[in-house]
Amino acid sequence: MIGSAIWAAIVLVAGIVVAVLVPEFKWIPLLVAGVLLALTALAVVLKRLEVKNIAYQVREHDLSYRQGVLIKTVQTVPFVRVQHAEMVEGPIQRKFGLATLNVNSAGPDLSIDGLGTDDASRLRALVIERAGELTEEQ
Amino acid sequence: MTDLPPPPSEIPPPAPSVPTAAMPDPPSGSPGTPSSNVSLAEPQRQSLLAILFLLLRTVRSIGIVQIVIGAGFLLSQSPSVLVLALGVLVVAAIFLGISALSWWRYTFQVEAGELRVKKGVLSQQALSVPLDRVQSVSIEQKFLHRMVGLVQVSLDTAGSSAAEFTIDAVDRDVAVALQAAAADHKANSQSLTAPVVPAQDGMAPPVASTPVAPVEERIVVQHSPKRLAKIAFTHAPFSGFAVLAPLFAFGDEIFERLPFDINFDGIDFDVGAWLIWFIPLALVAVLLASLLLNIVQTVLRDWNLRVTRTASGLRRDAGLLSTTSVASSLPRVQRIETAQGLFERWVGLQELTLHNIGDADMFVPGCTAAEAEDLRQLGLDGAEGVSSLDRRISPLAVFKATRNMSVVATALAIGVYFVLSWWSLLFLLLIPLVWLQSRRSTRLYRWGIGEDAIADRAEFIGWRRNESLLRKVNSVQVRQSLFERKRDLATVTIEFAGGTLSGGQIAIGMIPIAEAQAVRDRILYVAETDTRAFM
Repeated sequence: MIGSAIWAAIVLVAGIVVAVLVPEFKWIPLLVAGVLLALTALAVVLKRLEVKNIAYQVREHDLSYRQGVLIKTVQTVPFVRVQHAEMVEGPIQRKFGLATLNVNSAGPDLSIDGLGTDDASRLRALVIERAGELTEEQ
Repeated sequence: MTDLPPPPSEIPPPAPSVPTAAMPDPPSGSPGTPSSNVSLAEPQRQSLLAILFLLLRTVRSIGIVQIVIGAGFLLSQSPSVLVLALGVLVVAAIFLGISALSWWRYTFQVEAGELRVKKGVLSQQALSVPLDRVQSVSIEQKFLHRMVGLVQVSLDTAGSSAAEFTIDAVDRDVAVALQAAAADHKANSQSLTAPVVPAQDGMAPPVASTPVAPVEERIVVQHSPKRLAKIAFTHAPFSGFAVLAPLFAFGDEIFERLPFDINFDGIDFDVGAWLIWFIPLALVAVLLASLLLNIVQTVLRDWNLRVTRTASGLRRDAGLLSTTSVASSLPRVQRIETAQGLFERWVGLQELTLHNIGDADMFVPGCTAAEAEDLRQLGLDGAEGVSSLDRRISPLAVFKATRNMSVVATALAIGVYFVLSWWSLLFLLLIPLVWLQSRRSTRLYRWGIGEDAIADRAEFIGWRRNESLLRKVNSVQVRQSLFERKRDLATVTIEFAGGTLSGGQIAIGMIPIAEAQAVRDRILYVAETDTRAFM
C-alpha cells in the first residue's frame, strides 16, 4: 500500500517537473504522466484489494504466506529448511512502524511485507527458534 | 520395523578400491585412500609453476586492451630501443615479483575439518571453510596446465552460486587429496549422524537406506569415440554454427574479396544463374562445417567421458586438451533431469543431468536408456522414485493457451496493419499453430507423485523428465491465476535448494485445486518428518 503510494508520488512529481521544465512538449510528458498515474491508481486499488487477502500462518513445522489479488499464491517453507531470517526496515517503513521479514531457505525466499515492527521481530525470533530446534532434533 | 543399519563402529573399513586397470587415466587414489605422499595437515603451497599462472592472472586483471593501449602510447613516443627494453624488463620484473610474492604468501591446509587458506601480499587474508560446507571440488586441467602437468582446483560452497575460491595450479596428487578429504569428511559426517536418530515406537524413522556397506568403485558410464560422434550429431548438432556466425557478419566483405566481379544490379545472366546455385551450396557447406566444428568441439570437451561411482559419490572426468573432473556426493543431488531430443530419439540415446546445490551440475549426454536408468538410481540415492507417471493436467490448458494467443495475435495484426496492410493477417496463423502445439503437449504431459519423489514429463517433439525427492523440498507454492480460480484449478510449484539459475523447481499447472493442496500437504509432511539432511 505504502509502496504504491510512494510510486504514485514519484511519478506525479516527475511528470510535473518535466512538464514545467520543457514547455514546448507540454502534452507528451503530461500524457505519459497521466498514463503512469492511471496505472499507479490501478496498482493502489489492487494493493488495497490484496491487503484483504494477505495473510501468514505459523504451524508447528512450517510457515505459510498468502498473497496476490489477480494471481493468488500460498507459499510454504518448512522450518527445517530455513537458513536464516532477516528483518528489513526502510526509512519510510520506519516512519509507519512497519518492517519486512525475509525468511531465507537454501532455495527460494519467503518475504512478508508490511508487518508491524514488533510482530516482525517476534516472528523472526520464532522462526529462528523453531528452525534451530527442529534441526537439533535431527 | 525395518532393519537399522549397524552403528558406525561396526562399519568395516572401506575395501581397497577395485583395480584401476579399466581406467586409462586414473587420478591416483580414490577417496578413502588418500595419496600417500600428500599430507594436507601441513600448510601447502601451490606448485612453483603457479607463479606463471598468477602472472597471467595479474596481466589479465590489468586488461589486455589497457596493456596494448599503454604499449601503443609508449611506442608513439618513439623512445630509444634501450629505454624501451629496460622499461619492459622493469615492468616484467615487477609483475614477476608480485606474482612470486603472492605465490609465497598463498598457503592452504586442512585442519580440524576446515580448509584454511592464507593469502594476500600486502594485507593478509585468512579464509576457512568447513569441509562439510564444500559442495563440490572440481579439478580442471586446462591446456596450459596440461603442458606443465598441473591442475586447477575449484571449491564450490553452499553460500553462493559461484565457486568460492580457486587454487590456480597444484600437482594432481594434492588436488585429489583435497577432493578426497572433502568427500571423506562429508561421507563420515553423514554416516555418523544417520543412525543417531532414535527409533520411535511403532513408527520407523526414515533411516537412510543408502547402503552402509562400503561401495565398490565402479565406472557407471564411459563413452567411446563412436558414442561421442553420435553425441555430436544428436545433441545440439548445429551448435558449431555459433562459431561460424561471426563469419556472416563479414559476409559483404567476402563478396568484395571474391576474385571475380559480381554485379547485383546488373542483368548479368550468367552470374545470376551462378548465384542461384551458390546460395544453397553455401548453405549446405555452412551446415556441414558447423556439424564438423561441433564434432571437434564435442570430442575436445567430452573425450573419454566417464562417470565413476566412488565411495562418497560420483565423479565425472572428461576432456582431451583440457580435462575436467567434477566430484559430488549423492545427497547433494536435488533434481534429476532426463531428456531426449528428436535426433537423440533416432539413435536411441538420452541425456541426463544431476542438478546439485551450487555450481557443479553433472551433465551426461549420450546415455543409453540403461545407463540413464543406472545414473537415475544413483541420483535417487536409495529412494524409490516415481515409477508411474499417471496423472494429467486439465485439457483447459489448451483453451487457455489458444485464447491468450488469439488475443495477442489479433492485437498484433491490428497493430501492424498500418505497416503491412493485409499481410498482417498472417499473424492470425499463429492461433491454430499454438492450438495444435498446446493440444499435443497437454495430451502428452504426465506427472506423478510416489512414496518419496515427485516427477513430471513434458513431451512435444522430444521429451524432458524431472524428478526430485520429496524430502529435499525447500518450499511449496500453490498459486491460482484468475483463469484457474474460476475453474477451481491451481498450479503447484515445488522448489529445491540450489538456485533458480539451474531452474531448481518443478511446476505443475492446471490441476484441480483439491489435488494441488493434497500434493502440497503430502510433500510438506514428508519434508517435515524426514530427518535426513537434504544436502
